Amino acid sequence: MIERNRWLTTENTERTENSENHFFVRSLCALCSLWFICCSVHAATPEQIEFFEKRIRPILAQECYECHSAAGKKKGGLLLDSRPGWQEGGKSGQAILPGNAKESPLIIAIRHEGDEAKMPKNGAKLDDNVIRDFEQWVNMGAPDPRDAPPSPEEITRDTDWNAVLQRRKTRWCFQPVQNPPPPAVKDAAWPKNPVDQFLLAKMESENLRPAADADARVFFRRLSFVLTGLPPTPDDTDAFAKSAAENIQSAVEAAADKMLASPRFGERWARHWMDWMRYADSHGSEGDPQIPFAWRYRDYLIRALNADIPYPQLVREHIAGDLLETPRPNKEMGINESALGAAHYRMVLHGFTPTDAHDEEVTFTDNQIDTVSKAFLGITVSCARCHNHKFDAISQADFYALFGIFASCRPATIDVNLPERQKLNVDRLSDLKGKIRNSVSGAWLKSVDEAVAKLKTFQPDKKQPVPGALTAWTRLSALPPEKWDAEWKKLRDEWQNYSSQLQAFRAQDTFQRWDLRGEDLKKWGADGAGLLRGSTPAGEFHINHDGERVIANVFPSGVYSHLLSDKHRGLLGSPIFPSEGGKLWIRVRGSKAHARYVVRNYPRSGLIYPKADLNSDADQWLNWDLNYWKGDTLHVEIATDQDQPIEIGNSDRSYFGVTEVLYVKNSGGIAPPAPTVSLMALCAADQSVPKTPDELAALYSAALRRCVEDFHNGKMNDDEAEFLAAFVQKDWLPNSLKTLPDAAPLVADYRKLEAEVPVPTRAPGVMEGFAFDQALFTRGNHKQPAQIVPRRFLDAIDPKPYQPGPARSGRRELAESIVAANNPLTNRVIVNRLWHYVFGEGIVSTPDNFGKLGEAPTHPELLDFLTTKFEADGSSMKKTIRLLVTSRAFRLDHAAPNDAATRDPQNKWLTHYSSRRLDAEAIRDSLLSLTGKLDLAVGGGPVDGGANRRSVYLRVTRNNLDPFMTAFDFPVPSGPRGKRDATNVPAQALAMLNAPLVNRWAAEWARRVLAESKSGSDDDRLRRMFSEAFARTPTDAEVKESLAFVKSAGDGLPSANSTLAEFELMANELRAKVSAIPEKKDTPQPELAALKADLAKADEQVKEQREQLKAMSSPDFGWICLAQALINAKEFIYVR
Amino acid sequence: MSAEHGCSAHASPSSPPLSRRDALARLSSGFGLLALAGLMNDSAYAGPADAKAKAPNFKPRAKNVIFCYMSGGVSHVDTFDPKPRLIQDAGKPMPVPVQRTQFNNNGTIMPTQWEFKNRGQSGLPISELLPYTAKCADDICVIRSMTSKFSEHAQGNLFMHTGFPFIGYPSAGAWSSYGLGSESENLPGYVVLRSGDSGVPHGGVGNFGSGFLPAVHEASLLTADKAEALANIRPRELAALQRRKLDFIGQLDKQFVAANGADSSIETAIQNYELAWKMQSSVPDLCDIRGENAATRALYGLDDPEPKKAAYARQCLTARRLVERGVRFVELTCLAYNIGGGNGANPWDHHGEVKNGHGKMGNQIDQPIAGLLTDLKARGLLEHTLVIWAGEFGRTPFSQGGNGRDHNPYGFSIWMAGGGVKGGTTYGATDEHGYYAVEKPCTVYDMWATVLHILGMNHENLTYRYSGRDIRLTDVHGHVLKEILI
Repeated sequence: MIERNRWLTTENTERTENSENHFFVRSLCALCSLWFICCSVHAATPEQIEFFEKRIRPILAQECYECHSAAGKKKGGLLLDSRPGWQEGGKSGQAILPGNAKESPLIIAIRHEGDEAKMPKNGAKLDDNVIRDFEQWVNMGAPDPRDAPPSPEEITRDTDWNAVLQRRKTRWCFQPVQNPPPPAVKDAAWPKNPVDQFLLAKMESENLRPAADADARVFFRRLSFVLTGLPPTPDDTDAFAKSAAENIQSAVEAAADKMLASPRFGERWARHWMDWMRYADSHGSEGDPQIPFAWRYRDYLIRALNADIPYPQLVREHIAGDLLETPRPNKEMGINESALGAAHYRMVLHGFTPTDAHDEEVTFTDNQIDTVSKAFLGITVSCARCHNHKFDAISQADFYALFGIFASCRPATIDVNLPERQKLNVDRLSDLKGKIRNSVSGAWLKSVDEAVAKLKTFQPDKKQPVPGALTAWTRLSALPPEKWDAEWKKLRDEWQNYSSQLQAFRAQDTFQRWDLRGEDLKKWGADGAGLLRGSTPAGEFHINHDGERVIANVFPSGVYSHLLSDKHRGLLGSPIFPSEGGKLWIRVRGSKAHARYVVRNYPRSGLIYPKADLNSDADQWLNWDLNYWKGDTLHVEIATDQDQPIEIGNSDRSYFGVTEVLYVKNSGGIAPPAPTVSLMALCAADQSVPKTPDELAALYSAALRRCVEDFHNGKMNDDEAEFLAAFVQKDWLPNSLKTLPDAAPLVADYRKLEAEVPVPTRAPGVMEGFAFDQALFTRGNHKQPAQIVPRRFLDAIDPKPYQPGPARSGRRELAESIVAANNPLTNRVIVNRLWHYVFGEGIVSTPDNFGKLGEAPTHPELLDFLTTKFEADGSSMKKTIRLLVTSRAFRLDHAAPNDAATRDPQNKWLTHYSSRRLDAEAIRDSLLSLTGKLDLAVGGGPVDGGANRRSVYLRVTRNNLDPFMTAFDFPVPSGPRGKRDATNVPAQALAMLNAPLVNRWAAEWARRVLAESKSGSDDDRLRRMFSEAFARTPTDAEVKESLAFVKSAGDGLPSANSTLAEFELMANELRAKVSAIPEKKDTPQPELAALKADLAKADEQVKEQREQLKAMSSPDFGWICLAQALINAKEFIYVR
Repeated sequence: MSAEHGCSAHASPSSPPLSRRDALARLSSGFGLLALAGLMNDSAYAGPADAKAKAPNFKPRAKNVIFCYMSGGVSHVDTFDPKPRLIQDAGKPMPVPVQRTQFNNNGTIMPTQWEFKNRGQSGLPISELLPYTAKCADDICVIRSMTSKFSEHAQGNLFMHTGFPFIGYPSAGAWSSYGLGSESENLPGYVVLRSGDSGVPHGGVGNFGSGFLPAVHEASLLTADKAEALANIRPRELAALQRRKLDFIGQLDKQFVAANGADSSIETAIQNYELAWKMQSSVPDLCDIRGENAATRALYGLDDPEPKKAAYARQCLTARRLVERGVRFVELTCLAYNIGGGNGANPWDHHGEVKNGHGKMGNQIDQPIAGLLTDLKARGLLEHTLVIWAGEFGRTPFSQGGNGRDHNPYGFSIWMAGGGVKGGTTYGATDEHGYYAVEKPCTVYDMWATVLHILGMNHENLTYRYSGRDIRLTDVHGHVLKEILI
């Protein structure tokens, strides 16, 4: 293999040398260059030196030194860091032939014209103007004042990031958006709007002419697919053709307006948007857990696009919709639309219980950065995770500035109900609850003795633990009187021990302690209507929402999520803290609620990510040993059933209560005693010892009376609350609607109001509260944190650090930076995306990447004109799309005119409309439309591929994507995808020909057409089918061929019959053979097994053949075959 | 398609009815041949990569790869990495720091329960767990210092297949197909075989995906022992009718193209229909193994009474047949016994009952893989076929819960055979307890760099521009293990 520019490629020992040749070239060149140096360096003018310093040296330093300098890798033996260096040449000769740019290997390499070497290696081609500078420089004799390789200081100076940044910022996409006037054109009659003027001007300058207008029906189908993703109905097509014949422009405008106003528009374009946000319903990896309520984000997009919400508003909502000062309410649904925008943060992939949680966090945060930066800014910030961007004006610090913002948020399931709905009836329920307390406690005061009388008859169930409050009674009453003294003392000691043990537990050395009954709660993050009251003193209680029982329980002091309704949600999160080993203790109770510690925001549970399900209405101490996670940071999370970020339950009613959290240093240290209470707690002052059951009962009565009185006055302590709870739970105090006649009407009112409390409208989202600035990771290694980077936007646009403080992530500031007027990227990116879907190729053909590795705009002025107009039009996406689809350019025929096919094979200048294959959704939706069974319901949970819903509603399960959709290039949802593939693989043909589902759809279409045109002729039916499939009438030849095909479809019947007979005969023979061989136990009989397998197959063939025959005998058979053929015609899956 | 095997009734409308012999032949392989998610022929593919066979960068040592994937993670200290210290230190705690494990239920040092013996002329030690493989020792190069970055299955599998721990990146098979194209007219460049109830490893079919590479390079999942080996390959109608239908579709398309002018994408789509037709109607001799003689069947263990072993043998035999037909990259999938954590997607994952679980798995794959090596060698195919045997990680030298082993990505064994690899040798080493790779640690990047090198490609040059950068199978890493090459 001989290479021209070997010195520029990586060393490769496999390659054969061609040293003689090299030597000759090298010597010759050396001679030449020596001559040039003698002449040129001496002759170098100050202007030439200045040219070198300004235009050449920085590029050499920034793009070439890494591989071609004495301090760098010396690739190919070539040095470009000094004049003597390059004059020496590399392993394969001279790179620079002074005075001869055209043949200089360096120039050939940077022009990417060499067969092998394209420099900079693995990089983007240098800008055209830079390449021109190099050519000019070489042609002027390559004046170069660098006599020696640069010192480290010089290298630092020349490769300084600021210098690089400044140079890279000159790229077109970082320049302010201009407002160029539409250019004048020669053929002034042709353009219909300014878009056409820009396009035609370019065509005219290229000496190209636009194609003629497309046939009205062909155009209408195109318009329909672009705007709605569905084929037009024959009636609409006919109507359009008719009005187009009168006035094409007004017909197009009217049709576009109608389609833009159709709910189908939002469904179509939301799916595009979902591609940018790598929408998925599951997280992937082992287990592939669901992202709860992901579909609500999809529905949000559909509503937003249908309502034409201005683009900047949607961007704000995506970045910080949950934090907006003036959110966008949806009164009808009672939700805050804006909050749904942030769901995309949750569409990340998650690994399965990773042992390195930090690595996992870095990876999913990286994916969030990647998505936001590509989707909204058209640049790849994610490429700067390990080092400054190789080609674009993005620093490594930029990556960590954004990282700090996103990592300061916690994955969450949020409630998007409007605040007033979240708090619906809260005040009235609170009022009523006070009244119920009065009424109930009044009744209880009268019933204290009665309650204690019930205690006297108490027969403990041996299987059930006795509540602490009742222990004294059960233990003493079981003993003879002479033993009471000792037992009483024992009870007293036990209670004392309990108290001192608890005290000792609390007095241990801790890393963290939070008593959530006090001020510590403020350090935690709380979300949900259930937590609005914060912590409450002892004596709070829960009222059952149905049933005969009124009060479920009375609580000690703590934080409870269900004091008014257990439909209220609660999500409580601690600040982050480092794990230093030791043990974490949480005192907690609940029903269908969950408590866990969270490592680095990893949302799943597993062996090393334990989670406790709370299903007890009595306090318990949970504990976890944290030695495993030494060195990581954690937080504690307690949530109602559906309010964890993932792995949620399905209970609308759930609650938790929590009092304290201790993170003790010694994992083998003192454990807390199981929470309890004793009669002793309430008799502490009374030194007398009961001798008889009556005396003991009297003590109980006194204690209980005190509890009820304090409950009535709202002045209980924790022991009293626990003590009272024991009697309430036993229903020894009146606790039914019947026994509380005064309270009953209040309870009825309460329950009515409680029933109105809405269930939260849950959605994926993130939570704020514990923000920090991120340290930059050296070479992207999360185990090597370096300097802290303040949260801020990108260096290249606005490097000023945000000041969000410790409680806010900075997402609101980021949202404003992205939509800021001085950001030249955002609006260009969206306008280009809209263009891409209308014309099939963006003005920038790499819609996710406006950076160096992306393409340059074909019509930069047009892009800026549209961007400016977009801004002037209130950033309305619909208006921009309308402008595009009502242009003359969009209406052109799909065939290339004249010599355009040869002179502009890629149709860059848009002389005609580029036909293209429909995407997976449009193909599936078209098939469903034909069946007549397409269900046009909007929104709701995801469905499977066999459903009759539009494809936008299909479930996107990462590990199990729909095979039909995947065959037609439905993207793997791993990162933003602004431009889908349109591959051609036989799997597509096989799916359309043989997939049972597709065959069924085709058959349903044929049967519908036959049913709808019972009286019609074959000719009419045929026309109908062509119109439905292709939006056009068949040609005479097509009519003839199609009808012949319909008639011939059943021709195979005789042959099928005889094939069936063969199969039947064979099956019978096989059966006979099989039954002739006796089966032996425990002995392999491969021959018999093979025969049996053959028999099974033969039987299956017989069955299939019979089914086929049955189908063929149907009178609809020919038409079904025709339907199957028509959907396999390329015209069906292409738009033109 | 040969008339002798004949789906002649499929071939043309005028064919006579199926003869009984033909019908029987057809039965043996079902209606179909290969549906190819990414079948390739000369001009049938659009997209940036041409699927046609391409010249390698330099002289390749092998043309094909057979990847015997041991999903779930095989214990290296029980197979290819003898550690006498484990016997000596049995029951003691590990003397070195133990990394976090996924189950965090770490016990004490647990010796192997299989005796190691020096095998072949080379004396390469292989345990009694794999007695048949042991007979091929002189063809095998064991890399004992393999490492991975992930100790969970899905990420480990994806990393092992694509060099990245998440879906969306091309599998090594797809890269090979992209880099070298296919030498088979009617088969895809990358085939993943299944049989019986063998499962797709955790991480899903993304392990076999083409990522951002053109779909043509994606693996075709072929179930070796099923009538419909590939999705939608079987026509649901009489072949004669389908042919007539295709002709009619062809007429419609011709008019469409005429109206459209030259459009290569539409023309390609049309060609794909002919290709699809050819695929489903040509004789499925790939899956039809009736022609294999008794010696071959016995060699692979095809008629073994243990059905899962027989099923795996079917994959091994089909792998040879695929390689014979020029398929670039073939991957095999194991069948599970649901013992001690080793379930469908991760059959080797014996967090408990290593003895029983690994014993059964070893039995399943041992003779078939040894049969494959022997057969390839006898046919002269091993010279240009690289066989790789690897899982996503090894297992801990200490116990989990008494009789199991947890995941160990810090040092484990894989082997390669054929394709210019030095047989009967080892490369690198783990520490004396088999926990960490300490000598010449080998990364997943190194492994693929070496495989691509063997295929004649420089791993640094095999790139695809996506997402704003030139992406490689080896990311920005990887060194060719030149020492293991002949």
